Amino acid sequence: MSKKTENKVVSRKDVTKAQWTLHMMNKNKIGYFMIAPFMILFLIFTVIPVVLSLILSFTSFNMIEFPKFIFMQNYITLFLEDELFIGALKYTMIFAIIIGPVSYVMSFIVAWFINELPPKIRAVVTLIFYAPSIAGNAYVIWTTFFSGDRYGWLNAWLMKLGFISEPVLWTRNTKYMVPICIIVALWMSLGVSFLSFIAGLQGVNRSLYEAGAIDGITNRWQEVWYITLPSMKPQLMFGAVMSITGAFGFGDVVSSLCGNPPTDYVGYTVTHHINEYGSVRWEVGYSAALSFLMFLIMIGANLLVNKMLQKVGQ
Amino acid sequence: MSNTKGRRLLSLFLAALIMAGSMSVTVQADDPTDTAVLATAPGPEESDGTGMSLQNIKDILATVTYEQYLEQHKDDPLGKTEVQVDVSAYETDAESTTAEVEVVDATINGKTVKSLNVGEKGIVTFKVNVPAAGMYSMSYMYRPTTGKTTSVERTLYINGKVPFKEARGLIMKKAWEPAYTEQEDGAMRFDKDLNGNEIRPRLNAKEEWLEYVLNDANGYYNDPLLVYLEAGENTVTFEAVREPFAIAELKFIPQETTPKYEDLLKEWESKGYKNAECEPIHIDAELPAFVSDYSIYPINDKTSAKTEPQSAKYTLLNTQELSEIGQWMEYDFTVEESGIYSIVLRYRQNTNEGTYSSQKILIDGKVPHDAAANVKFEYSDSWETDRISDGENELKFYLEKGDHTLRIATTLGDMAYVLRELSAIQSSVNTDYLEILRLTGASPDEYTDYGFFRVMPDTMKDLRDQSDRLYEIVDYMEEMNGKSDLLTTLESIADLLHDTGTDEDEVASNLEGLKSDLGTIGTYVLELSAQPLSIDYISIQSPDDKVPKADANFFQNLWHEILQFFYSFFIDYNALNSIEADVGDIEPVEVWTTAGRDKTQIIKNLVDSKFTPVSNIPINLKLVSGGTLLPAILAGIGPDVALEGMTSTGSTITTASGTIIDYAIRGAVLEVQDMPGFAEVASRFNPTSFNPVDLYGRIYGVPVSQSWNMMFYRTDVLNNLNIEIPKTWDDLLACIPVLQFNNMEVGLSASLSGFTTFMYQMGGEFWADDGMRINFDDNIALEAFEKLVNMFTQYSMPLSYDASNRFRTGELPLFVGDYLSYNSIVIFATELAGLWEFSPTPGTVQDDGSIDTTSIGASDAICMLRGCEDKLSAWEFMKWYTDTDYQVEYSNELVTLLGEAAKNNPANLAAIEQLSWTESEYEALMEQSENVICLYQYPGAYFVQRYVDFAISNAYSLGTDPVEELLGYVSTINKEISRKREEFGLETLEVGQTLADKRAGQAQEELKALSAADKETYKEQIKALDTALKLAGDAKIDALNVCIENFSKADEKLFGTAVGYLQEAVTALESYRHS
Repeated sequence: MSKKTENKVVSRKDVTKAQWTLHMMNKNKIGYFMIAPFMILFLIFTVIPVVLSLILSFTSFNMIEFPKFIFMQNYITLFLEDELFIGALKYTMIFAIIIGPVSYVMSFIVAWFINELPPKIRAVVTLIFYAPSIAGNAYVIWTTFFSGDRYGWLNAWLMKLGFISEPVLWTRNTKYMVPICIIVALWMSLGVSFLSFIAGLQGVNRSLYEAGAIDGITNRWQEVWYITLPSMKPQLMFGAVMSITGAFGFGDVVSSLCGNPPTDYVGYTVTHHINEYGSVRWEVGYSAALSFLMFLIMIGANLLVNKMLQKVGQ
Repeated sequence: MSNTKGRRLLSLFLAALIMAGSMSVTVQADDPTDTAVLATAPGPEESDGTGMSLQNIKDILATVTYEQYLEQHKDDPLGKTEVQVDVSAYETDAESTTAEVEVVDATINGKTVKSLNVGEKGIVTFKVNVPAAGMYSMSYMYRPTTGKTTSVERTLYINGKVPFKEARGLIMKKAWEPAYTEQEDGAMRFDKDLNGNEIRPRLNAKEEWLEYVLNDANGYYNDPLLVYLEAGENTVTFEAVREPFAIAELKFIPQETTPKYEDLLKEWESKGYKNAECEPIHIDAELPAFVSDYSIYPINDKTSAKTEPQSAKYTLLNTQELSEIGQWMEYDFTVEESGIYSIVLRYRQNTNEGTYSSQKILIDGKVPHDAAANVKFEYSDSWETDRISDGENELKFYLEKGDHTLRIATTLGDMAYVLRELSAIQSSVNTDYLEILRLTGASPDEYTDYGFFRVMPDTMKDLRDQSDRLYEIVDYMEEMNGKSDLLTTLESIADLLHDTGTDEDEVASNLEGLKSDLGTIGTYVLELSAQPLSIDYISIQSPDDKVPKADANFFQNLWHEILQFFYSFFIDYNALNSIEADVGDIEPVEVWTTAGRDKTQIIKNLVDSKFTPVSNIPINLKLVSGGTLLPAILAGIGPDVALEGMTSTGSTITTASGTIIDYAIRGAVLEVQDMPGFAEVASRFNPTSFNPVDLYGRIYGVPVSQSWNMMFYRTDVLNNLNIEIPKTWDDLLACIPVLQFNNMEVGLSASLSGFTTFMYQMGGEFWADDGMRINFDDNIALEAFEKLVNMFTQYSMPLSYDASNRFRTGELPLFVGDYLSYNSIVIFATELAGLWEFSPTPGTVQDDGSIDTTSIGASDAICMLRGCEDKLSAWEFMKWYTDTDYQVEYSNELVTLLGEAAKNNPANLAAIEQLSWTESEYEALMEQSENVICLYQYPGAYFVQRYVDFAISNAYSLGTDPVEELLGYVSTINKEISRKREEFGLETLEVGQTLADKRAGQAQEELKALSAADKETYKEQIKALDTALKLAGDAKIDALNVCIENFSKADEKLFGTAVGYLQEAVTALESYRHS
């Protein structure tokens, strides 16, 4: 027994590991029962589909006949032969990099400013900023704004003011599509992360500010960097995860604004590509491979952001 | 403490918000034809006639209204004598009578008279000799000669001219007799289905003589219309609009007067008539002897416990409904004792809010007194029982002992005057609006001084006049009914008209408002025309008897509701099962549809009453949501038959829509071309309708619906600008300068449908090499594409526009679109009734001078799915579903239930004839349908649309050359086509290769594989082949033909395969030629 005390785990000779595990599980069975409902649903509706998707990515499946195994063929095609995928990846990255960090920082800044307001006004202003997200697909109002019809709002105003004489097809013109989608995405981006930031800001311990003032903090920026942000690490993490998933999963907005697929595949993201192969071309195996790839990319991005967030406050 | 409570509540609220926000709900666009719109268009459109040439339009629009006609003839006396016309003595010269006529003997009311059968096209003329000039009323007996669901329609000419607008489109309704079944207790009621629910009865057209008196089909004039006849000889002409009929006893009579109610009461008193003293005569309203429309049928009402008969468990048909002008229901009853009776109705009028619904009562075919022509039923949420009244008195009727008929007919009553005025005001204001539009364009500048008083003083004055007229109407209605929302709106419209007509600076800013007000008036005219009434039973009883209770008391209703609630756990509302106890062991055929509850109910009713009883095949009809077909087939629990529309997922965000071919190449659909009776089924359709479900001779479905493009135009606008209706694209381009000068535009489809229309009219083809590649690199296709893009770039036609809205305002008086746009315009732009038409799309002039008006059609089909075990039964269902009878009934039901905006587009050509299109609309549709081509949907078809859109967008936005744009995409498209074909084991081509090249290559391969000796022997021929392949065009074809001959002559066996390849290459080359 003395030999093994260097390892923090004490191993006993009279029970095997398995028996010990079972014994401990039995002891804590109330805990297990409590998390059981969630775990079961999580397993069935989240974990198993991801695993199935991985399995399907090794097959060729046309949605009606039984899948045939083709092993790595999908991945090979994906990396070597698919031209659209490179373009899709490019636009996904463009959207992710611009929308992700920008909206993240914007959410925080807006949350911070709102935090300064008295409570009742704060509630109202929060609602106003959060409204685009609650309303589900409210972004379709932008289709009226950018409509190619001469009565579309932007067209009508520009024609009235004399800037243009013929209506412009904003959402079908490859020059304008990406900026338009970015604008709309940023408008929508004050979402759940924004709310969590507001909550987090409320939860910062007041006494830390006083201590900071004593320790030599001179302005608000230093206060934010050294005190507020470190205390909010859990919310920052949450916000980051939401932003990243949102940014990578950005596709619906482009579809409803610019059509599916958008002209010359400008603004065409990996989400579109997955949909394209899954729903339009009926090649589910390939789109499963794509989704799995996205899954890995997002995990990678999350880990990266995590590392960066460790550095906050230093 | 309250602070934390408040915080708790707030955080609960926020938590709920977060959850709501993170569950994004996909917005699904509603299929517009599914929403139940109860408004129905008022009778037929006013403009009938051919409407195809500018002159016709001018004539139609220039006819006066009846009111103006009466004004013109106000000094003429009323006719005093009755003049009969012998219909067998019709005018026989070729100009006067062009219809097919036949003199037949007929028995009417026991007498034998001469009658004339008149065909459904052409005119027939009679001579009338009247002793003195004057205003006469016209009446005759008529008998419909077909059992079709549409009413007989004619236009009347007096002395060669249509006397007034209302003489166009005279409607003669048919009498429909419901078929009742004798029940166990001897009563006549309805058939029941397996679950015990009553089924709607079949209605048969009664080919009997009915009386027609000249009246206004819209109901705007309550009295019969009078026509002016000169002294001496006059001609009367009937022009066919729809349906054949037989006419007899045509006569011109002095105006009939209905006795006044007060006079009658006095007369009864003087004759000593007393109130009857006997049991009330009870008539169930759901069992009429005859109804005027195929669409009047009994309905189930479960809202009141007292509706007779009522059941919480079963669906019993217990009420009947009237709503449109011109509809009536007739009942038979027997009176035991002569006397004075009053009529009690248990009714509900819960549609015309704030006002009443008017009906007319006829006893034995005649209105007994003027009060009976104007019976009012007030609005109420619940069922009422009242003695009928005209708003002031409860009405009494004197009935002799014996059999009688009671007819309840819709009428506009006091509202007739209002609607006439509103209609006229709307028409005037519309003309004014168009005048202003011509000057200012659709978006006038508020700050420009257009000088309206200087340029169009009459228009301004007219606006003020109409405003005064509208104020009068408002006052009149206020006196009648008191204030209501409607009146406030009308008043504000009158204010707007007045302001616009007085202050010319207001015109520009008010133009928008004027346009929308026109729409409001139009909608009101539509709504106020409806006179809805639901009736449960009629009780003819003595005026002294007490009126039965209208509704059950609270507890009875409560118990009724409780019972229904209880039963709702047992009744299966979703699986709309069918009837038939004696089908034995036949497994039901499972049919799925995504059509929405209203439509599915119609389908179910028709299946239950028409299919299963006749074929003994039970049907399990299931209503599912879009997108379930695919997973169901995968899971093996799919249906046997899928109705049309099931193969698309119905989502608007993703374009994921499969075509039947997509399902078929994956083995999910069964072929039907070998099923028994297929040839007969195929003859019902335009032969190309099968193309979208035809894959190399294997046919995977039967077309159900089909639509194609027609050209819609505003007759008033074109008339105003003197523009002839374009028949070719050149005509269209010629009228563009005129239109654009007047701030108007023309609408075309900037997408695949526009492109393919041009392509096919110019003689091109969409697919090349039997679907192995797309034919866009062909010269004709490129020319067609350039022509299309030029429309938008050079001629500035709008690329993106809302056709319905702009058509309505008049700034897009002409557009080419799907013919079902009819549905949205008719309900959306109600004020345009009679001011627009559609005609075949413009065509392209061919080398020989003929005009090719080909249009590309889209069709959808019903298919049989894998896993269907009883193929023959499923096929029987498919045959019945696509047959004329069902399609006609279904389409007409849709219109009855959902209104004019629910017209259906059946692929069955014979069915279209019996839909409620007017004769001219039907002719236009049929003319275009002869030139409709549907495209094949070879694998890879889904990939084409997007590139055409890209090419058009780029050519328009970036100014690039359209031909280059399109050519740039051809190889990408071909690559995808090959990819898909490979997936399914179909032959493919390399990118850039044509079939001719491939076959030639294969032939040369064959030749290379010959032994050296053979190569020596046939060196000549082989060299000839090489030379031939270097040629091009016709020379190549001829040279190849020579080679084929050479090889065949040389050695059949040795060169067999090579020759085969060469022959295919020649065929392919010939197909690239443009003959």
